[in-house]
Amino acid sequence: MNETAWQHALLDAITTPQWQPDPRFDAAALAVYRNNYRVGLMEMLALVYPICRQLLGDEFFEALSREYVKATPSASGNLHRYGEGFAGFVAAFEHTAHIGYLPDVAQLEWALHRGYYAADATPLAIDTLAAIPQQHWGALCFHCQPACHVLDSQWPLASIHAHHQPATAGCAVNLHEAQPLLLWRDSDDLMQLLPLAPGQAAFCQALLGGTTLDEASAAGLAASPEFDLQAALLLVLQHGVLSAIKEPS
Amino acid sequence: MSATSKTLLVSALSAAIAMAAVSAPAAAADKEKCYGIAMAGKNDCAANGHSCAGQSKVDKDGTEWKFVAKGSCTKMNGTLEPMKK
Repeated sequence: MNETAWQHALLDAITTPQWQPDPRFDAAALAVYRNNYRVGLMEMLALVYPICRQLLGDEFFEALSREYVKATPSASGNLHRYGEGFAGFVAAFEHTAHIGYLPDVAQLEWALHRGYYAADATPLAIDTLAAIPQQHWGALCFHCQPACHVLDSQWPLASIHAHHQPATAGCAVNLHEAQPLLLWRDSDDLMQLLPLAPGQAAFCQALLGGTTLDEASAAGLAASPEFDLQAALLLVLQHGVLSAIKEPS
Repeated sequence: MSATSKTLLVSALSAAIAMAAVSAPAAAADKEKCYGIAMAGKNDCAANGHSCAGQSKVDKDGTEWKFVAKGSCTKMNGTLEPMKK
């Protein structure tokens, strides 16, 4: 076995969740590397999911993250990409499946985490839009901010988030209130979130998905008779959701 | 799309453009971004005086699941029960 192959085998032995004894590697020595690697992934989860951790308590979260790490190898050399499947995991995991809002909270934290590291994009200049003849507005499609994300949740995600921030810790949460969210990164490079009014989640999701303004408006109206198109347009313009106009292909 | 909705879009976007013009987001062009170091500790293998994270802690092989959630989920409106949707 050449040295490169041996190194690859060693890395595999370190990173594979379920390891079988292998005569090439001293079990006790390998255990040190496997431990470091596993604890590193668990600590990453604690950094990405601080609200889930507070919701469940340190001991429970640590045990939960151990189960996740055992079941989930890292698919990237970049640690920041580890933990994407955590929401799905807690939804299916026997001991967390009864906490209905937990998967959505995990999705929120993942979107905040990925949004923070998403690529930059200059917000669309209002003048650019204003300069386009009005009869063409409906057919426009946009490139959106990579950091933007819509969570169409039935749970009060904004309140649960606020409940766990230092400035608003312990504020009231009404678990019967649905709070779909828009997430974006502001000009100070911090992630922000805002609960959306009826129809706005469908409108924003359509725009982020690359539909025309006409189609997005129709999606908003279809989602709710209370949909306020002007408020929705102002929302995406003010928060820099739109970045550039897509050229017709 | 109906003619009514088209008129709606034009008037709504005209108004939104006028309103957004006074409160548009500032482009972050003058800000220098330091990739990878902004969020405290995330890339920092040498945290807490150890040369690597794993040295601060030896993980155990939990074979039996016996943990109880003791965090804020038990206080937030005092329920862990699923809501009737």
